Amino acid sequence: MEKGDILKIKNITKHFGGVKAVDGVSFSVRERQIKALVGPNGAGKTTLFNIVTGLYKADSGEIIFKGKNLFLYKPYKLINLGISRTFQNIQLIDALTVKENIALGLHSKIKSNPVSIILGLNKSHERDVLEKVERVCRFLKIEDYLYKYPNQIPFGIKRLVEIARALVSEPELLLLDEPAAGLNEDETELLLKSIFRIWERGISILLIEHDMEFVTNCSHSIVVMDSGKKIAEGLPSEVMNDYRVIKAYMGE
Amino acid sequence: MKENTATYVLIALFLLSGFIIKNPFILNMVSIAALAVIVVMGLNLLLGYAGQVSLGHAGFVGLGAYISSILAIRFNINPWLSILIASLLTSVFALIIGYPTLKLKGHYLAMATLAIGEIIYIFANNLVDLTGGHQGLTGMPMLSVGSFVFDSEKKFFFFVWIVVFFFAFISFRIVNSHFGRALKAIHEKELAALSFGVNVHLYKVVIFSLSAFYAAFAGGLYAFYLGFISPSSFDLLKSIDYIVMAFVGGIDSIFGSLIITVVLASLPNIMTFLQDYWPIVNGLLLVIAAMFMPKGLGGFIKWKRAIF
Amino acid sequence: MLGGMLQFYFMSIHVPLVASLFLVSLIVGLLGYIIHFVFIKNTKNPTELSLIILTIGLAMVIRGTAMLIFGKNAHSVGQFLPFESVTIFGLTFSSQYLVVLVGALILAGLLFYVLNLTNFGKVMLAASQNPLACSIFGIDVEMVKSVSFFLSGFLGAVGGSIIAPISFAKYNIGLIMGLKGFSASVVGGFGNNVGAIVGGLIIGISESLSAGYISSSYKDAVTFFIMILVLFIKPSGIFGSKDVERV
Repeated sequence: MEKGDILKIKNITKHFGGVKAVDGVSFSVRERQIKALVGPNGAGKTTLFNIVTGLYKADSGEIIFKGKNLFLYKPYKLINLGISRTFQNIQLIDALTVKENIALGLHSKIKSNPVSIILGLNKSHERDVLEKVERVCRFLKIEDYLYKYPNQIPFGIKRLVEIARALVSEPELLLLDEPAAGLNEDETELLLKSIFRIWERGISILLIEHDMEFVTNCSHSIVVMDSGKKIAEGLPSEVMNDYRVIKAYMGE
Repeated sequence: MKENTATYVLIALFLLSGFIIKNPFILNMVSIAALAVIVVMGLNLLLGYAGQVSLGHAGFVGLGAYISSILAIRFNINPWLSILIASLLTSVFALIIGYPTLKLKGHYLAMATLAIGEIIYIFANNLVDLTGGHQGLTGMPMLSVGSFVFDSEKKFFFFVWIVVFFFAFISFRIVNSHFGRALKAIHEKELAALSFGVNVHLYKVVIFSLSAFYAAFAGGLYAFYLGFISPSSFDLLKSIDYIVMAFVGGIDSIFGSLIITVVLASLPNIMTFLQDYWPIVNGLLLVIAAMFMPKGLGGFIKWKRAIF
Repeated sequence: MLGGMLQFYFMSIHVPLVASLFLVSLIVGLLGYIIHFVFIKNTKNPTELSLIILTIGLAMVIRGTAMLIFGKNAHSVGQFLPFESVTIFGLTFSSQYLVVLVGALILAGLLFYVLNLTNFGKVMLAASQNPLACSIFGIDVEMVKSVSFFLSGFLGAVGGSIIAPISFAKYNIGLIMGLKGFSASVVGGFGNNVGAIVGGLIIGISESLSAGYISSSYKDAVTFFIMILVLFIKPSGIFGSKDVERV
């Protein structure tokens, strides 16, 4: 079991002022697993995500990715290790086209220096970039939108563009923060299919969601959080039962 | 991409106008405006692509002007070389200031640069031995290439607009590269930029330092063109003038800020009777732009174009 | 700046001292309120950048207007106390310094009371830290902001008018004084009352010392240099928490 873990979250705690946003949470994501993190609003899911991606510093605990302690890396270095993410509130850049937004995902892969930028010697890099961007767009079936700006495309497509941007760097672990939020039924269906196709390519996925329906359909394992604590973990079927019990207990 | 062409065409028009305009007063005025354009293009990179305000850019212009003049006068260094050294020194200076402050929230850089501008102003006024104090500094040699001396308004006019062209070219190359892509991301969604491998802090520091280079280079040219500099050309009000030009023209539009800069830099010379009202006009322009046109006139034009 | 200028104006038309001090603070406080209510609230896209630009613009308008009305010259403002100077422990200084000292202590005490001991103070702190949560709990965050704009205008004006007899009133002193205030906050640490006082003292003392030992022309430069030094070494200031830093 130990050997196949790509991401190990160990005893993470994070305070904001007097509030414990994340309280001693531990769990692992195995290689080629789709793991879901569920729980009500304010349970600390996104905070935990932000700790994994280095945007917040944890008060205590450890996060190990492929044997490396993530807290030793600057947030902008994580993508080079093979971790990539999307955001709950869409973080596309309005001043950039879809193509350029996705190309941002390859930023760390482009080697260049000031002189080559000013002399315009980056043409071959840009061709490489375009090729990869087009490939990932075909994969997610959004190639029609390449030269549109974010405010010209439907919401569901924006979510896919976010995923494309995270995917273009060919990460080993993909973190999806509420990918289905705000999507209609058709779009959710399409998203589900896309997630499976990403998984088929050998990428491990950790996703946040509070739609239990969606989660039971797409994940191999579920972690439930509430008020900063992990309250259950297991197969979707097991957790679903537990979850109902907990919900009933909490009187929701 | 279209903006590049529009800007180059505009600069070419300015260059051509040098053949038509005979009046040295106007040539001089538009040359000085061109120097402001260089400063504003640098400030544009900072405002529009790193989302940061500098209230001390006139100080950087002054630093470029004083260092290059002193190098040329005291140490007999070739004017071109001294402008280059002064610009490099100024950008290193900005690097040192920017490194700690750009880690902090946005208004820290504004306040720190305001302080730097004041410090530079105070030194320019008080290091009388070196700077001539408030009486100013003279005695810079004229710029020349071989035996060709830039000794007339017309010669300098052509030269300075070619320099503008050169800096615009560098700006476009940066803005349209992957570096520019990252800068736009920093401006809008800093956390997203960070997550996709952009070293946000380093990029901000680099762009701040580059914009100081633009400012100092313009300052150096200013000093050798006029042959006279004094602290009042580099005070806080001048810094705010540059912000007005950059912000009203459009923080991510080089074309827009070029037009606005030439207009705003020239108007006070034409309408001297309005002299006492300029601070109010400038202030109102900033208020209106900040409230209703966050992308400035350039953004406004782009937006109109998108509708029609 | 406005505090000093208005103080000059009211005293020149012979409004009694206490009344004019009160009027001045009220007017500038209201101006602060209006700035928030009319300008900041109605800004289309209130990013950090556009708000900084907006306030610079407003400062320019106020400054330019003051220059038009009161002219470019420095105006002297009479001392508040009837006697010229006081002698304490063999040191003789202008009586206005006494006013400034006592005034500063009273204001600091009042501010400490309002921010830490009243309900409204707690609401203000809460609103600055987590506006969303506050609005969920039924706190009118916009109102809190308006009031804090009023308060900062009010306090600024009191400061401006009691310092005016020493500094003179001039249209362009505001920004540099504001920057000194900011320097003091940086040195002491933002959001900390003790820090603000200690920062102010450090800035003030180093300014006087540099005026004495180096040259009075460089005293402002020394002040700003200290601020920049603190930004290098400990950006959160002497007493500050770490929340000035970005992630």
